[in-house]
Amino acid sequence: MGRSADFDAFYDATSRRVLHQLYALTGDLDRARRCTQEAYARAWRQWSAVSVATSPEAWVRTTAWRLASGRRITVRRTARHTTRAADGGSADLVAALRTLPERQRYVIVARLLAGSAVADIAAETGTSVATVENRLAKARATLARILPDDTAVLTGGHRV
Amino acid sequence: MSDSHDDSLSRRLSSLETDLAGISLSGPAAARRRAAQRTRHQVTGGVLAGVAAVALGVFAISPPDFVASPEPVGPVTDSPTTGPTTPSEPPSTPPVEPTPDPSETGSPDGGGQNGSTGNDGTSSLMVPPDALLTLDDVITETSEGWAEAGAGDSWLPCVPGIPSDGVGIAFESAYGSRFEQVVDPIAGGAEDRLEDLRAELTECAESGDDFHLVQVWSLSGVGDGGYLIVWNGPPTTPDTATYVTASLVRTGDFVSAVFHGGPGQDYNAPAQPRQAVLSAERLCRAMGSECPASPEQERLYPEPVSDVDGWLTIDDLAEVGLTALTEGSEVMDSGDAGGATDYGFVGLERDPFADGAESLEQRTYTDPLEPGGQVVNQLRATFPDAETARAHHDALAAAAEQPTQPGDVVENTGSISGAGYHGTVWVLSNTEFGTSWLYGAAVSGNVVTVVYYGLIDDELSPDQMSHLLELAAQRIGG
Repeated sequence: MGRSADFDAFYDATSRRVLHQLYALTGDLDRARRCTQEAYARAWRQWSAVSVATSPEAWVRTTAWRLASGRRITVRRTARHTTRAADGGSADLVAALRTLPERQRYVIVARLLAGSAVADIAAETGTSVATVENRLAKARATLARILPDDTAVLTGGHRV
Repeated sequence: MSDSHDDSLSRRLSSLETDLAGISLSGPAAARRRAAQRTRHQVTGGVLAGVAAVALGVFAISPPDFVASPEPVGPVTDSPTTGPTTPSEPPSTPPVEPTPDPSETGSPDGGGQNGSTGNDGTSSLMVPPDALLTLDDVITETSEGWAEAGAGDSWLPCVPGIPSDGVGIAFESAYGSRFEQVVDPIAGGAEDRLEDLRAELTECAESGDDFHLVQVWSLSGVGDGGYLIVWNGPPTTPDTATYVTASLVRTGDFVSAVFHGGPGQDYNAPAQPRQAVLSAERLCRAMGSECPASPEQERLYPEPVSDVDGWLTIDDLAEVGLTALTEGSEVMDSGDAGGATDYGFVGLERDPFADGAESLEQRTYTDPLEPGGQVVNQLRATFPDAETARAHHDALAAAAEQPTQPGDVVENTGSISGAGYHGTVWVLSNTEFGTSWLYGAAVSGNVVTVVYYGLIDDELSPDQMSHLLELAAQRIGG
């Protein structure tokens, strides 16, 4: 398989998942889409290195997340123009995710949506396994408290 | 926490996929094109021009931002972040100041500097017809289809009409975007006119509930300077507002204003100077001269956070070679939402609070033109006394010598010491993930500071990090 074909196959196989993960991380469909696209462009620029990484998909996800969380430019937005995002049932989840600190949000999405191992998340984020587990626990507790469903019952709605 | 809790959360996260219905990505070929375009710009800038790299911004209003197509044709320009670029046609000769000669006479279609003497004895100028951007220019610049439209009476918010002596052009796209340029000749008053225009636009953009000023940048190295201004305003819909980018540039006695706007939802990257460069080049060429075209931009709004006592300064970062990092964040305390509760880095695992820290604060230093790019993290842990701080520092440094994560290799690259402070610098590499970090910790008085930086290439050496840590240590105490 040629280099381009290799990249194209990778893109086709993973881009929807990364988009999904970025949406969970940002709660903003447009931002998720733009950051995902840009991350794949960057992956192509460094494809020789990215393609042999343990998880090229994790590389793209973390790159997209770094782009999405860039706070260098303060964007003043009106409330009604903030996002093109969730309505209905998912709105509660998106809102709950956005209450989490960024690092907690990343680990909960990487672990429970992307299925990444805790050790891999630690490596991706430059933290230890213990720190990832700590963030996971805090994120779980916060979500259990906020989300109005059976998860709160399971934990008694308490923070950990 | 139970597995069923995780299962429930996992199911709910998976269900977010339903919100993605109708959202399509532009495809792998578009990603490769975008990457290639970025690389081409970098090569052009580095080899041919040798000018300062200026990041491309995002005009988040173009249709591809919210009308997804499987494989858009041509360069993709809706990136939320940026890559460096330079003007495609750098000046090959030293900049020449266009200085229209009021005594020279000519006709509007003469292609030169046209002037006449008014009744009041002052000079009036005329704009050469080929000083304006053309339809082809705009199509090439935006990768969008446009058709000519009536100039003046713009529906873009805050965009002024054409002055009596000025000339203008306008184009509109099928996606509801509008592009227009006005060139205004003011003999002897162009500098004031530029400032007035900036004031007029920013005042309008801050004039009411439906108007929002987004960014203001000063622009140098293009013509005789200018501004990039971004705002949004009416017409609005429940999902969109009208976003406008103004590229204002003065060239001698002429002021060119390019307005590019349309419906959008966000604008989260630096305004880009390309249209200012293009309009200045066109104006200068029409007058038979050449303009500077090495854009450098400095953000005026939102106003950057200035240096903070006790923390690294922007000059410190430049001193060690991190010249692109020109913006420091607000200082965040561990009690702030999202504030650090530990050093947040695998090489510095020791918990400052467990060792008696009273507070932990964090500041980041970034490149305003490259969101998601280089970043220096600095944290300061404050202890009740110097002895406790030293004990924590020594324990932190001892722990830092022992990597805790499989695959990590830590190398001590040296120590620093000076009047009242000492510290150590390390490099942590993980060959499996291809990551490398330079970091250090130092103590001075009752404060321990740590600094860490994830290498993108080889842009920072251990020696430079040592110097940076030394500066950080010297800054402790203000």
